[in-house]
Amino acid sequence: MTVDLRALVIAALDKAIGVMNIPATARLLMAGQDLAFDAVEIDSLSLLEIVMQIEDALGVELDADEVAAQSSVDGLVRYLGQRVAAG
Amino acid sequence: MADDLADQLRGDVALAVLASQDFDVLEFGSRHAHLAARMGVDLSAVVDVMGYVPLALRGEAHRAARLQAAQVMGQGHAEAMAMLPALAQGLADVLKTPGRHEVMGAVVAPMTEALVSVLVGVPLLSPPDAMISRVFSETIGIAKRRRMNDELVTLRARVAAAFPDEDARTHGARVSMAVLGRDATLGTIGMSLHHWLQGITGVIGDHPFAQHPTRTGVPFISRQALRDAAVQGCPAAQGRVVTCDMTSLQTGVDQDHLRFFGAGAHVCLGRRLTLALFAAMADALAGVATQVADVKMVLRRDDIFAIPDTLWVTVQA
Repeated sequence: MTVDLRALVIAALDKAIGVMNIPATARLLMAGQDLAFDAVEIDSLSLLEIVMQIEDALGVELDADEVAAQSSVDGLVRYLGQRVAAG
Repeated sequence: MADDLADQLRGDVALAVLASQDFDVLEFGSRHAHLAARMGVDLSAVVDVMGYVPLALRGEAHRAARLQAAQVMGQGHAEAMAMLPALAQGLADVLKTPGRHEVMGAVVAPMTEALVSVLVGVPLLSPPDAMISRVFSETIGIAKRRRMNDELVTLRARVAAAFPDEDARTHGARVSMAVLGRDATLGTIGMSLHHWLQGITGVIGDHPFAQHPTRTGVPFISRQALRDAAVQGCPAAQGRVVTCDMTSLQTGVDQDHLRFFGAGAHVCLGRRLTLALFAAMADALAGVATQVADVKMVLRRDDIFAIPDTLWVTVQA
């Protein structure tokens, strides 16, 4: 089964911090563009919520600092792609 | 006016904070409870055990849990002390054998597991990547927290089955031995061994192993000001969180290394046993006639403990 990692990341961000409710970020993401994480506010609990959404969807274990080390949606998608490929 | 207390404290200032009654530990239990509620995940066993871990408790709750933990530890102390020479000899036997050895998996983890199991009262049966001591981590994700919860449920059930006449508090205190003891011991032995092995040129036995840790597995300890306070003239407002850098005591001076165990109300309960273990290791390693050709360590990804994930040692005749 192929997982759309970008859709997964956006859904996780939306559930945790409502990125699709913010017109500016929603426009960027719907246009397929990247979103820098420093453009949105992600507190430590929201970060763990994002981690949980991704873990549950992909069946992997992630640490919050691994996810926080990625600077943008595209960066996180690339990182997850590597993690999934590595098994 | 003096500058505010720094966020990260070293040496004497760090020890002064640890010894101060104006500062106390962070309340980890409430953090887990909050996280569980927010995420809708079951961390009930984690929240429960934090009620028995002295290092996560303040005031009267701390005093009661510490007393109970000390009593449980006292019950296993003689048996643990009796095991030390054989455990230390196991390490010496590996280092006597030419070849390439992964010392953490081959010796340090089983040694720690055996000692902590005696204190808990049942075999820990930890998987290599056990989560039981990761209760202090802020960075692990939810999947690992679920695994931690499952491990604690299982251990608590095994303790209850092994000691049916004891009450729930004593069962909790037994499980807290594993939480407190496992990773801190693994890290302190592993880091000290690595430090010693790195310094060896020539015959192993010609390089005395110190009778105390020379590196700590607990590099940083957080404390929170309970009230407006001052340490060595530097003020800290109520609620302020500071970090004591215990690696600043890795000075090569014996007296500093003995301060790894902390100070004040939360001083390490395992100090006596750890020092006895290191003394036994020093005795056993003194007779090793092989040489170290190569040492390679990879640290575990961990925001709380310093633990070699692997410690490879190449030994030659």
